[in-house]
Amino acid sequence: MSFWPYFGLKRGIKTTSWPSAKEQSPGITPGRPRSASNASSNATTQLCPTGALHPVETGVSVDLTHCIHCQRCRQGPHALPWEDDVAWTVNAGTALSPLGYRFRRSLHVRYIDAGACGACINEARLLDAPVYNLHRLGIFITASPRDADVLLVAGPITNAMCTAVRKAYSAMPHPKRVVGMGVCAINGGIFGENFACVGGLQKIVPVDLWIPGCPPPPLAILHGLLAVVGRTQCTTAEELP
Amino acid sequence: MLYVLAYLLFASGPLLALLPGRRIPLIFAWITMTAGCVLMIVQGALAVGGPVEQSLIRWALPIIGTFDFVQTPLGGLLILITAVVFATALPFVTRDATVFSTGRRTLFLAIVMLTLVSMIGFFSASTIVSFIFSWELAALAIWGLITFETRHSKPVAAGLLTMALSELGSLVGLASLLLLAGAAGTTQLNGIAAAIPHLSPMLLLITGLLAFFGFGMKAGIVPLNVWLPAAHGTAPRSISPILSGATLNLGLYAFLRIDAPIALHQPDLGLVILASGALTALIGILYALVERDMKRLLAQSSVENMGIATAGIGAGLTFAAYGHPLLGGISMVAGLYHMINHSTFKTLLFLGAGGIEVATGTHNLDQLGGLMRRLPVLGGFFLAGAFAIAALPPFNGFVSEWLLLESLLRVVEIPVVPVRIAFAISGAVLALTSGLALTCFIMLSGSALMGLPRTAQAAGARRAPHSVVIPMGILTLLSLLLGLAATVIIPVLGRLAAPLVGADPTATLVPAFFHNTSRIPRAVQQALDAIGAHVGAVFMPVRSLIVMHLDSTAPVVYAMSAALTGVVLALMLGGVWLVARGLRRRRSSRNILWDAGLARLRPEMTYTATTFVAPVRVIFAGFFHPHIEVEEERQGAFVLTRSYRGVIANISDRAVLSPIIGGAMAIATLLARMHKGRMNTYAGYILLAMVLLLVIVAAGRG
Repeated sequence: MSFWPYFGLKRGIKTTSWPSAKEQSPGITPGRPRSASNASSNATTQLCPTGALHPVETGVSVDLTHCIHCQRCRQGPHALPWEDDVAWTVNAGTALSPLGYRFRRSLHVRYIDAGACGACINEARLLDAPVYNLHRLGIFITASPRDADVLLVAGPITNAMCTAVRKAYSAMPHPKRVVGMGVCAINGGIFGENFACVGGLQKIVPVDLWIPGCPPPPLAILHGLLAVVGRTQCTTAEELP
Repeated sequence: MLYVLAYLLFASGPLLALLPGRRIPLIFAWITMTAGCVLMIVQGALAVGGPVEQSLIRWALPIIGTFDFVQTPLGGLLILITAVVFATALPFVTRDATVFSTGRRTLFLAIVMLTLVSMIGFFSASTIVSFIFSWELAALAIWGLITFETRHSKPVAAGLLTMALSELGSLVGLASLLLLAGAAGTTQLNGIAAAIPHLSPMLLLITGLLAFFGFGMKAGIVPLNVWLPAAHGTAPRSISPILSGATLNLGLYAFLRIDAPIALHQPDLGLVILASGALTALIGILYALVERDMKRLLAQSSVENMGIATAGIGAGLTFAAYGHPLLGGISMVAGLYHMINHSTFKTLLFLGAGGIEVATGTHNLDQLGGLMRRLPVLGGFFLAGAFAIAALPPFNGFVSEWLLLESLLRVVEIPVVPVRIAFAISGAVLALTSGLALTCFIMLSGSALMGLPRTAQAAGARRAPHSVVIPMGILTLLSLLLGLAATVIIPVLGRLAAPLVGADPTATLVPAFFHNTSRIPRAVQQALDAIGAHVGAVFMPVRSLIVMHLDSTAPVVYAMSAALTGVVLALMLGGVWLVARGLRRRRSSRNILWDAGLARLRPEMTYTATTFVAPVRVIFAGFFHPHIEVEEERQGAFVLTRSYRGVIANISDRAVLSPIIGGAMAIATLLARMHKGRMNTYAGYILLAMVLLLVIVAAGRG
């Protein structure tokens, strides 16, 4: 005899109500550093292993497209303030407007792992879990780019996957948008640009949005997908104090 | 007169081939033989519409008895079909004969003509002597055709298997004929039929079963069906259309001729025929699904189609035996119709397979692919044949299978429960067969014609010869006509079925009242009004097909209108065309093929015939009993190479022939122990035998 319906009903609905209400659960995001007018800016920037922190006149600026939230700048005497939000999406520079009204509740996403370490897919996988449940927002994962409106690419784009990404992009019907996910897709991340990978999705296909992060948490990915249809707004990549 | 002229033309074909020259004599030979076939088509058509019996030859031979040939409508129909099959296959036969030397090509054409002549003789035979004589002549000619190419060992082995099983079947059938003749006191087939009501039911059942299984062997009825794929698959490519399209009808006609009068007095016989037919159909299509060789696949599918036709005949005889001659007529018409259909589309498909073999040099499905681009016309006709054999409208296979399944449902009129169960199971098996046939022919046409070419041979296919493509076009047209003009064919077949089952179902199947509403019987009118059906000239402009039975409490009406089918198809095609036009005007983009992002789509990555039918293989694994043969190449203790090969043995081979062969071998081994090879032992045996004989004689005296 199985009691799961009873326990399930007893436990109630656990799906988050984000974005209509702010998500309050602890640990929903690793957080990211914010720029600060820090006196010892040189000491702070040397903490960063990926060169995301730059000293400027007024303090320390944060380049979020490089930050892998390793949390080294969170502790110690030169710590930067951290913030727990999920609005991470950044405009990648193409002048395409968000997809129109018809896509607001019917957005089909094709996910491609172009050499990612597995963290991004782990987070993207959670979108389908009961807590995040992307279907409530009218977003669906599809198997074929022929049905997809959005190409969601993670990883530093290894040479072997270049053809696949290009083919998937050209196989998509118009209108189409490309979202790069994770810092690897933006600039190679911790892999960089080397003999095995291109290091940057925009070198292969035109990119509309970036979701920085290593990996971006599920709500940040959702934020990016909603930004594709104009339901959320992009933020800036480079934070100046 | 026509017969004499036609036979002279048949004989002159091989003789003309004796003339020197490479192509010209064969063209002359083709013209004369085709003219002979056309004469036989005319003769057959005349016989179908002619009198019930017209004597052709009447010889009284010493010792063996009367040697008579008569012309009957049913025989005329079979002669007509045979002549059409030969006429469409002859261009390819003569084309392939150009590679032979003068002597061999004459022999080849002579054997082909002997096959035709012996078949015509068989369809006109009216005494046991002429029946068996033509049957054996045909068997001999067919064996000659199969083994004509003796460069390889395969055709020789297939020919020997065919000959062995053919002779086994003939002996069994002959035993039945002799038993009947002995009991009836005559060798005339009609005389035997007239004497049947006075014979004992047990004798009737035994002789009926012997005739069915013995003569049915030529049609590939289980259990003697293993020879068929071997023979038709290895026969010369130009011969396979004839073997499958024409010679299989020999078996159907033979057991129909002998068993039809018996089954009217012995209902169990009809049931056995029905069940065997359904079983044959299922076994045939299951083995067709796992074949990789196009010709063997088509041969297995012939087994299936013969099974369907046999089931129709069996159902018809059972209905008639239980006192429902009209229903019996419908089933019998369905069976005969399917026999005609099989001859058209199987000749078409085998010609297509031959054409593909000429163009690519292979008939292995896994080496073909993408032929639709290289051979568009042949591919189109081949696809039409596949449509027809998979029973898709508007082609002819649909009409006969639909009629058969509808008539099987009417078994509710027979109040005997075992009969109902047998019909229900047979109907279910036949329905399953239809579905599997569709899968099979999607697989065949898909893997041969669509997709990417899997080998260089397929990619570089040459032009298909006209001698194949033009006859294929004619047969496609024929198959379409047989599908659309069902209401014209059925009255003809109804007339042929009438003497077999005792009633002509034409009035039920193709009622005249669709021309004229005033001629609808009042009862029918009321029944149709009650169910809300309006009938009349406007509703169905051309004569329509209808299966109707008013005997039971509720009227049963199934209607099918060729005209309406045509209208609906035209509307659908028009609609599709309009939609396609509308779509083309809208903004569209052309894109690359989505292949999951491969660097290059290689043929070996695509679906093959084997993978397409893998679900069927898995579902029916218990039936197929696949096993893996391992071959090892050794050098001392080291295994150099090891190759695995999946083998599926035919169930008739496994369940029937292997035990028989095993038993015979066991007895032979036992007997071999007596043979020591020493003179003394044999002398001892002789002494022992003499002593035994003396004892027996002495005991007899005493």
